[in-house]
Amino acid sequence: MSGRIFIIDDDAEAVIGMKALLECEGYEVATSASPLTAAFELRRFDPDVILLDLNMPGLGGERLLSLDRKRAFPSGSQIVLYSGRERDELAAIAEQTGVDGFHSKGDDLDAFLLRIRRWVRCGRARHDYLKRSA
Amino acid sequence: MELQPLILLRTHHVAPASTAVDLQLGGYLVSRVFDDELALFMLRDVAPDAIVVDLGAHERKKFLARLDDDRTPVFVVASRSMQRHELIASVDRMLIDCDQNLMRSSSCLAEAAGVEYG
Repeated sequence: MSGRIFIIDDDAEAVIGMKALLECEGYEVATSASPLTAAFELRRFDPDVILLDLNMPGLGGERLLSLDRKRAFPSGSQIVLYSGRERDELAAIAEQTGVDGFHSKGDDLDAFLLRIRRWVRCGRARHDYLKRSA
Repeated sequence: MELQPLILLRTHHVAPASTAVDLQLGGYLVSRVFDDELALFMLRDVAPDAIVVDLGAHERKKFLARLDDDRTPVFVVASRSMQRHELIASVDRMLIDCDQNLMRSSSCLAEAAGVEYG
């Protein structure tokens, strides 16, 4: 499965594991430990899916989404909250912020990979559409 | 493991995203689309299991009219106070009568979309 996924998470160990897992599935993966430094790389990489952690020092994902989402994230990307918080809490934040999906780090990995496959497909379709419309 | 059914949600609600979250909690994967052209493109390109339309009356009618040739099951989010004939006048498709509680309709949605529920 091809597709580009960008992980924003300050937990280095978790990022290494998730990156390896996604690359094994055939995805191209880029990472950033901070949303503050991710902006340039996000524009360059233009991912199909952004996995955004919520619990980061300084500027967490939740705060970032409330600040300037259009400027911070490429318009074709699917934004997925990716956090250790409980599913219900993630759902409430997803509702408030209007992201495209959410995943609790404790949830089943096989189910997560199936969801990633479809999120990537939707992100790619959006990119194709934006290219044709440009 | 089964793929989660993919729902294309044509809406103008960026945030709060209640319908999208209701559907996700109901076991669906949701892709929200904020304009008709992109929605039609994604219908062809992504082939979702169903499309849910959560729009005001005028925009809804306009969009539904453009789905005439598509075989994807279509659901319309509407309140109970809305007349059914008003919703299906132009396109005779399935209807979600959700009253701000889409979860109750999730099994109906799955059944009509031909997919296994959550």
